[in-house]
Amino acid sequence: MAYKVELNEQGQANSVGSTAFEAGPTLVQDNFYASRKGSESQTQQNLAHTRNILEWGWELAVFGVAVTFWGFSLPAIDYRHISDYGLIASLPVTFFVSLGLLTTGFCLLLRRVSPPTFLLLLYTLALIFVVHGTTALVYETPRYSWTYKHIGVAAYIQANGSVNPTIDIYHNWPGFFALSAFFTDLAGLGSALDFAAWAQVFFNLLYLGPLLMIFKSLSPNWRLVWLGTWFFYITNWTGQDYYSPQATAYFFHLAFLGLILTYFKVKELPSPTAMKRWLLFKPLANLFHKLLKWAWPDTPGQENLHPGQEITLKIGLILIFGVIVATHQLTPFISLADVTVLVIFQFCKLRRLPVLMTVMMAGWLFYMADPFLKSNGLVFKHHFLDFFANLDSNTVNISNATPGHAFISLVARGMTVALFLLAIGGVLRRLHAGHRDLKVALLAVAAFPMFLVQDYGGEMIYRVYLFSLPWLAFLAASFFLPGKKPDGKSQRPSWKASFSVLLVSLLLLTGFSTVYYGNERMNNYSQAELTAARYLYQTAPTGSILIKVNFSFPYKFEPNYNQYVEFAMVNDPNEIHQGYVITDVEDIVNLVTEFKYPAGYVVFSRSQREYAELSGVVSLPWVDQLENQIRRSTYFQLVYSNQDVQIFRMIKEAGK
Amino acid sequence: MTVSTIKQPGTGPLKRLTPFLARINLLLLALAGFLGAGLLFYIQGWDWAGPVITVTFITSLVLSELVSCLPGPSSGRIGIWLNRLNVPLFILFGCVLVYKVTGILTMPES
Repeated sequence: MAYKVELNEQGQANSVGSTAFEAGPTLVQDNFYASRKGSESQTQQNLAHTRNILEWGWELAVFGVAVTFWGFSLPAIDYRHISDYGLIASLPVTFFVSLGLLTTGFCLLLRRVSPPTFLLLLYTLALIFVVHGTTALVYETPRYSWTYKHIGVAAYIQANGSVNPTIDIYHNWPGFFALSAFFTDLAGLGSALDFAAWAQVFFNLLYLGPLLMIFKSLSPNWRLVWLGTWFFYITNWTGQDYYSPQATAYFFHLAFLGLILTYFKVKELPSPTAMKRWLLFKPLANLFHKLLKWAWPDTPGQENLHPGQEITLKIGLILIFGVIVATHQLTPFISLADVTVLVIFQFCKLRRLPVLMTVMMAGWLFYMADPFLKSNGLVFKHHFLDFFANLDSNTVNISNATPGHAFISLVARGMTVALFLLAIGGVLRRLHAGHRDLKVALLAVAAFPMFLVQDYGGEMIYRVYLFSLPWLAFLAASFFLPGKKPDGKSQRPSWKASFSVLLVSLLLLTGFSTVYYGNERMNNYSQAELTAARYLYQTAPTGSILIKVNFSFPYKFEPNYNQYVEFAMVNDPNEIHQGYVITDVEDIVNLVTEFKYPAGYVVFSRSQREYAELSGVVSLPWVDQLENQIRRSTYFQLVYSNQDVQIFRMIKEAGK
Repeated sequence: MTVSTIKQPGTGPLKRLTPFLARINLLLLALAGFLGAGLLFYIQGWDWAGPVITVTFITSLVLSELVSCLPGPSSGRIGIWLNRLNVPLFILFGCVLVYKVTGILTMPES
């Protein structure tokens, strides 16, 4: 009976009934030990629970301190005096402490046995807000001159209720602008200018969902999934996530690939005989079959889909691709390249999808974008099939740039090379651990053939990097967390591995901050510049030519932007002005008179000077000299001036 | 009803002949597509026929993709017919592409 009493004291009486007691002392003794064991495990559970709560508390405290430091850093950011090295030189120490704490906290989370997802999410969201929200909170106006051009197109649609494909390229791919105009109207706002500064936070938050979906389809290792996501955010320095069609299309591109990789995997590798139908030669088919068999993914396939679910997902895929096609010129080509690679290498069972995608793209290009093709039909001829010329035209010439700007370009190149090296290392370590990541490696290079098509206005290298980035980030993360067979599931990394992750993350984050904020002298506009630009669009007669040193200025953001001709003295893209090189005031007068513009305006601004100095394309003394000439010229009159902008109007047009 | 109840190709000499006939069938369809394209473009002009062909081809491809999800022999048969329809449409669409691309490449510099 003594046993029974003790058992009751242990709270285990329910498991030991009278029958057990009656069965004899051995069984009761066994039950006693079992119950003692149970009580020990209960104690251990309680301890683990307490430890978990303490760890949560610790992680939340680190998070709270990091966010507080960030909050303290905001008023101390001196964005009006940005040096050649960009905003990074104007950021207070507390900003970097905040980033360092977030990185450390995140790396510690990866060491935990099973941290709650919300903590991982919280750290990632905080990173997005700190990195992208800082400029939105501190700056007076949205970053990048292109933002303003995009705002203008949306404003045009708001004002007119439709697009006009003859105006410019944006009206031929109006998906993003129409959506933006719709939401701006719906929110009761006057213009997208009211929220465009937050676009980078918004888009990066959007990317998080599809990124997690993609990485989860590639590995069941949650640490790898979250570290890959973290690496994506700290290496995405290209600045293509602002208020733009490409940022929107990129989200849909990621979602499109996420759905395909998750729900449309090939369940069974086709036989060599089936492959011979397409490859024609038996040895070739056998070789290809052997390669695919070797590279067959070890990640589990999806559950069987109900026909209704499959149809819904397919309709969703087609609609998503339709949105991509109507939104951006380049993204559909990359989506097509990715899906084609997946289909050829038997990683996607939707074998007809590339054909459908091609027809949809061609349909849009040749019919909806017909006005653009008619006026820019030869755009594909420039450097067509010239890989190295296109690559070269995308690389910044640092010989003319300021030391700071040259340094930033070098850091960007260094970061790109480092990420590629880490990704290659990741492939090798994963191979060694028994994983085959052929699919990821192929997707990482699928966008490279785009260099054969054209230079995309000097931006192809950034776009190719952006589209390769998710896959590179995943492979780079797998360098530290290769996982082991058979399931590749989460294994707690060693202290050495955790320290390496922390060190590399901090290095990448430093490089990211240097490059991402590197050109803020010319990407950041003051309220005075915006007010001056608004004056120009409100007062200049329709058909006037608006001349600037370069396009580093908030321009084209009003709904009537199409009524003016914008001209840059350096690298003007407009073909009608080709051959016009502005060297002095006479050239400007000749330009205005020869084309019989009703009025000509010349705008000098702080950001244009910053751009001229940083890029080194024209010298700053030349800009000052030209402004002095115009000031003294009888042809021009100063019509607007504030601390950052001077606007001159030509008053003696020829022919009058 | 299972897929096995769908009429199978013949046996003996016919069995050997079936793949050949199938190829001839495809060839005939392709030829029909090519001739159809010529006729359509001759009568109606490229600018009218191009969008119609593109939209029809997209619709046919989307339907093929959706029908392939459905179980049962009827959907299988519909799928087979849609795939057959895609062959001439593919030829027609190829003609449209050649016409448009040639037009763009021969366009004088603006």
